[in-house]
Amino acid sequence: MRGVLAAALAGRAYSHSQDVDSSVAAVITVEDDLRFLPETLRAVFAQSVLPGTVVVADCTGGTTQPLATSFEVIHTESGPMSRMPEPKRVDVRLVRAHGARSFGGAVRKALDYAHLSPSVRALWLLHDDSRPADEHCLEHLTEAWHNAPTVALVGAKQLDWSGRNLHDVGSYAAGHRIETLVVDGEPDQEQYDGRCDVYAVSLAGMLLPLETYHAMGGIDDFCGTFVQSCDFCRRVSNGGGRVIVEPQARIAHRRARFEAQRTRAGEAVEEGEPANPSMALFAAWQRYYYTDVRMALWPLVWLWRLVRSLAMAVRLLLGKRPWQAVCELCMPWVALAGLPRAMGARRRVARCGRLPRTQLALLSASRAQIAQWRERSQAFQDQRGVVLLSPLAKAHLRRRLMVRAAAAAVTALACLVGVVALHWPVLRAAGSGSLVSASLPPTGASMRQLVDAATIPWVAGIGTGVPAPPAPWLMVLMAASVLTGGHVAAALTLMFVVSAPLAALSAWALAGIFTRSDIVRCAAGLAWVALAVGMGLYRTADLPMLTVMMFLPAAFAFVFRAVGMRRTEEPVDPRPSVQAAAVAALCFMPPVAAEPQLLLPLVVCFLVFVAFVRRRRATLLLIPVPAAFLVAPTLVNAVRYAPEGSWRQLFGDMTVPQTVSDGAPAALSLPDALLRALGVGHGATALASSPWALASVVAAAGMAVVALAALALPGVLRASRMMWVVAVCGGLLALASCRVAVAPGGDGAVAGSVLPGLALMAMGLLCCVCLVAGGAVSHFAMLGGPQRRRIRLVGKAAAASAARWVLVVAMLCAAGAWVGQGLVRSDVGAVSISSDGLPMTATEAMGRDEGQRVFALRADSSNSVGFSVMRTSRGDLIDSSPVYRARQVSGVADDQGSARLSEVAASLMANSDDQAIATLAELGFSGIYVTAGENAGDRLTANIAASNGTQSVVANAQGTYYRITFSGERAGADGRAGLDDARRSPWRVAWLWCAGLIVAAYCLVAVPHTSRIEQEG
Amino acid sequence: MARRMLRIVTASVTGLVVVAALAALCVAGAVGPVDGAGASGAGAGHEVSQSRLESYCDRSMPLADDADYGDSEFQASAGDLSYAARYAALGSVYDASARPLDASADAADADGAIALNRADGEDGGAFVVSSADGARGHILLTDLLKAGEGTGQVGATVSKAKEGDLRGISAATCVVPALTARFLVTGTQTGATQRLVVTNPSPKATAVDITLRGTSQAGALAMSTGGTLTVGPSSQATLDLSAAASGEDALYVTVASGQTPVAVVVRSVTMDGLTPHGSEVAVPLADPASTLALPGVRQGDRVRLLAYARDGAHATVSWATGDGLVDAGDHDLPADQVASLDLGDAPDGAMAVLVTADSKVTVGAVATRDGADGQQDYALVPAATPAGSGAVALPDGVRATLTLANTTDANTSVTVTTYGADGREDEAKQVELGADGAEGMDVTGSVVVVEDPDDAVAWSVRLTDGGLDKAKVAGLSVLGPTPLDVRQTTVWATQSQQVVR
Repeated sequence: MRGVLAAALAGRAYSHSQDVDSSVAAVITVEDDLRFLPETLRAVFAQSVLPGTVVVADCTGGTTQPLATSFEVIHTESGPMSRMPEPKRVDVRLVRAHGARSFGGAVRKALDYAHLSPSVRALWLLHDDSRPADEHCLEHLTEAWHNAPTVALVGAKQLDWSGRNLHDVGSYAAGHRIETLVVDGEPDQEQYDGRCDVYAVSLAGMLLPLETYHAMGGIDDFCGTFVQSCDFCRRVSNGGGRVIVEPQARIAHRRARFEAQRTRAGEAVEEGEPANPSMALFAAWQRYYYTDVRMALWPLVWLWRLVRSLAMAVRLLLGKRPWQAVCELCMPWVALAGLPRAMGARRRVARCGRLPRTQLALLSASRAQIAQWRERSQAFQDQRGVVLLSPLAKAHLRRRLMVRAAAAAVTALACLVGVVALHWPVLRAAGSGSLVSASLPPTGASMRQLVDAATIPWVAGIGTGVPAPPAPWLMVLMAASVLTGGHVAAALTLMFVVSAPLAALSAWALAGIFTRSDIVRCAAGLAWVALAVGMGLYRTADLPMLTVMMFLPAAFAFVFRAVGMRRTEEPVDPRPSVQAAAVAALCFMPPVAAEPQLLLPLVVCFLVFVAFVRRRRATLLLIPVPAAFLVAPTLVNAVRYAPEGSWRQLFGDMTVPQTVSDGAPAALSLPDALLRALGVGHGATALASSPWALASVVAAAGMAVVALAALALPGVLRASRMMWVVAVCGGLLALASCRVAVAPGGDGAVAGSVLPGLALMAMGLLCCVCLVAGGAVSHFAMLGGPQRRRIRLVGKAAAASAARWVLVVAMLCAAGAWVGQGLVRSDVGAVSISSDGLPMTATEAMGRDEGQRVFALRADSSNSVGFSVMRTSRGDLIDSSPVYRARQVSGVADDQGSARLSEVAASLMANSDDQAIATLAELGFSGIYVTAGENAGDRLTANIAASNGTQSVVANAQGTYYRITFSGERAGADGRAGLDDARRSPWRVAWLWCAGLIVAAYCLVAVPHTSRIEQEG
Repeated sequence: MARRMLRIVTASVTGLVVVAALAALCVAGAVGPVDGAGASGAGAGHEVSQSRLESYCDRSMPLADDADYGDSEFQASAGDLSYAARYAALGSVYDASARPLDASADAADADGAIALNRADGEDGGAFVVSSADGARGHILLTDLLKAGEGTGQVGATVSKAKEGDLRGISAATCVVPALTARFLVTGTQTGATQRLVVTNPSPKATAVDITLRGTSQAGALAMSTGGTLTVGPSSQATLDLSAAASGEDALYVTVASGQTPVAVVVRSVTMDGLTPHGSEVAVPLADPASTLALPGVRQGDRVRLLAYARDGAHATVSWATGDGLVDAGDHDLPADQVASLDLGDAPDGAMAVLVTADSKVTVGAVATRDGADGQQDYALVPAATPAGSGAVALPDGVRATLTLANTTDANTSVTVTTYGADGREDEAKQVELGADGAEGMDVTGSVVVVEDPDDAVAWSVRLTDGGLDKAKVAGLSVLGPTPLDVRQTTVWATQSQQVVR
């Protein structure tokens, strides 16, 4: 700092036209950030009227002893000289002001240390980033002061650092706030130069007579740097003093702290990552508000502001300013924290008296004025962000938009028609029952049962009920059921049908981040859906994986939009968007809910992304939050019981794992995992025997090779590496998943599915392929310009377009190969519609009483029997619990109910057993249903019929239903108590409330604007 | 410039890292830990066996028609009919008791319940009791400790008379309730009465379907009485087969119960005018087979073979004697029709009838002996299935003769054990049998158990005498063995959401 000061003194221009006013002492406060000080000092020393003393207050603590220097100025009058001009001295002192908490505090400390001479009658206060905009600033200020000696203080007009645009010209009182009535940033055309008496002025550049200073007892620290000028001026005004602004005195103020160029500690902030000062600003204004209100009213005001903060938070969220919404919600509690100091400050303000109403009216801004000011501000904002386009350019953009939309619609429609046509026999009967396949149990649940299953950590359909965290995908099913009006079975069909066009649109959106070529984007959408078909997701009705395919690309697309890394057609640079971040967060919820194992690579990818993106890093880290909250019970359970093997549940999902498709845990390599995903058997012979499989593998390898080429492209280095990291993480996940046992199978364990990891990898590779396709932005170009250059440009464009067409054809061939493989793969238990189920008598009984259960048996052979606890008419899908399967395979599934039911099933298979029926009655079962099967089923029915306590009610082609006729107490063992405990558990309530509020907040931010580009914070 | 170099270097390094990672993924087969959990698989295996055995033991033989008309010479009378029953439970038994049919199911100490007792301190003994309460049938119940070979319950009831219309011996083993039962009964000509008695010991009512096949035509007979019988809980119902299908030489009866298992017996009484030609109680037959042995005949019996083959068969019949087989002829059995084959008198040394057919057949033999004044008594000789361990309870008051027939052509040996009236083991004897050979011996005691580890020997117990020989009354009955094998199976039970689709 001394160096800067010395340089400023040395660089001072020698001039004879400068005068010195020894009754004014300039006080300049300086902190760690020295970027603006040289300009300020130069401007101060270039004034036509120099202050007699210049005190530089060092707030950093680097100055321990005050330093003093001086220079002399000889003032030559303009007229003929009457006598020898005498040199006048200007004292420059560098004093310490360490430990000051605000500008006012720094001034006070400086005055303590500076020991000003008694001739000083006024202070000229300057921030280190507020420079006098011209040479006559102090002259105008002192002139105004001398012309109106009764004024309490004189303020200056505040401009921006360039000196051209206005910040404020004094402010007026409005309610318990201050309004400047000046549009921040409008050019200075002397439109406000008529102002004189105002309510408050800014401290920067203020000429403060020492009388006023001492009368007010100094500048109060309480309101902080941003608002202490308003507080000081308020006390002055309330005490009857006059506050005037001198519009001719122009101060160019950088407002470094306010505009987040400086941290709270006073250090400089790098360009490009401005911090948000909203918290300090809101707190400061709140203090002003409370000190303006009588202390007796404070409790009521606090309650009112508490309610208001909620409403304001919602409004700010809708306005895409989430950090300010958070600040708004914190404000009432900050007010409570600052209560003691606030009381003292209020007393000081109250001591100054009260302004009479007529006087206040003169210094207030009326409602009409404020409304007018708001309109003008809005108009100013509107015109700032607009880029003017010619009508031809606009027409071009509009045409591009329509072509794009048409291409997307055609792709989506093609996928929808394709999938519906492939599965028409199944879908035709969809209205009568539920979708079912070997890995997807059918469902006959009602909406109420689904909601209970999704939110209560209790699985009611296993044994007599087991405590287990709910499978997160049930929330997705719940949302889909809301769309179908509460019909859960119809929701399954809806998801099946709608997944194809939505997945195509998702992939189309993600491809659009990297390339604007319509054909490449459509080909990417088709390839993505073809991959879904090739992985057998439609054949086996793997709805959780279809959810992943639907939402994962869209989520990543919005992530890129959120950080502003995308190609655009409009002639503006892509801006980061908080709304896109919120949409991305919401889009991440379904895939993570469907396949919780995706959370692991996503966390890694996001950490890598934080290193790669240029801006909005904090936003990036907030994106996985709703997804993490949604799967919180699963995560907590996995971590808490990890030593008992509960972590395996992360690798399972709601479909029932099959040994034939997922195999046993084995150490696979990536090509093996790909073969397993495509449904091809192990080894080279299986590959060679099926041409479609060979073609699919070749297509996948080709895609990987083209994606590798993306690494070498200049200009997309960050994007290519980010997507390759995603792909590698997906591959790692696939290889990890196939090594983990997630469910017990027929003989041994079943490994986790490789599909989620491979889908993530395929998405990453697809994006890199789109990167290779290049930007392909067709800008609007006016005709005209040199001919040769135009031909060259056209030639280049044609070559690029031809290469793009080759790429598109390759992608379509790959898509065709995958679809072919998907059609020929033989999956046991393909999708069908199940309209059977329990007979109507049984379902009616269950409908009447929630706790009714039916014990279902199916004889697989003469010594093996399958049993199930039915609480709906089929299945049920909502009782398929990956947590329970993980516990089974880890050997810790020891629920009593299932063990007893297993014994009952076995004994009924072998002999008639009255005790077994009595056990069933005790456990709360009202009937037994035997599914019709082979001959072994006859023996089972004979045994059940022969046992006491059963009564055959219905016997049809699907099976036989027996009612259990044991009456009497069914005490306690039927699991209702456990269900009630789980329902009332405080953790559940806390989880639901937290997740609900977070999702609601994100939804508010994600709701699309109707119009203008707002300033996003 | 330096920034550009830095960018190039960073780009190349990151690119190489990515390529290396991809290569590692492709080659990383057989590397890395594999989760070894869950070696046991889904589902749980359970050893299941019956823990409670139940059978129905018939009451004393009632008169076919006890209406009073005419004078005392024409009225039917039971004469000095006496009844004896023996119940026994063998093996790892916890408790055994017999309760009357019409007593409530739960009361172990109901009116008239009889507990089977075992001699104190005897671990290897049997629970035995004998009873003379012939007024009503009894349900024999045994609670088992664990299943296995050599564990089971047996019972036998015998009614004998020296005077009256029921002269002779009629005996039957206790019948295990089942959902289906098959019988071959002697004919329904004039003077023969066949009554089908269905007992439902469970608390659920059931409806029973009966089909008959006879010797006069192929296919099911149209029954004059209708073929469905409803039996209430813990009660009996009777169908008169000779009224349903009269004029047949033999009947093949199939009984199928709809809801609960029922115990079915056929009581047959044959009269020739006023002379009794025998009475017998028929118990359900074993499953059809292609090789059947019917032990229990002796020289001097007039033997008639009843056979039924659903699709027709060609059967070879021979006598098993102590010295080998004696041929008794080839016969063609018509399809879906009962055949009544007269084999004539049993030759010397004959112990059993052996039937070999080219497809599965059901056979039963009727052995008749003559007494004084034209009185006859016959016994229904059941086809005995070789089993690892079997037993017959021996009621008081009759002489029991054991007949063993080796159905294979290899030497075999069995162990014959008899138990005393108090349940203590009396005697255990090893008996050797040659190929296709047969042996007969008298047995005394309360229960006789035959252990046949090779599953080769068919055997039965023939009841004669009981004081009837001295009065020159023919009395004859054959009891087939009850296998002492409570099945224990391992059943695999899996919980799955896909049971009802």
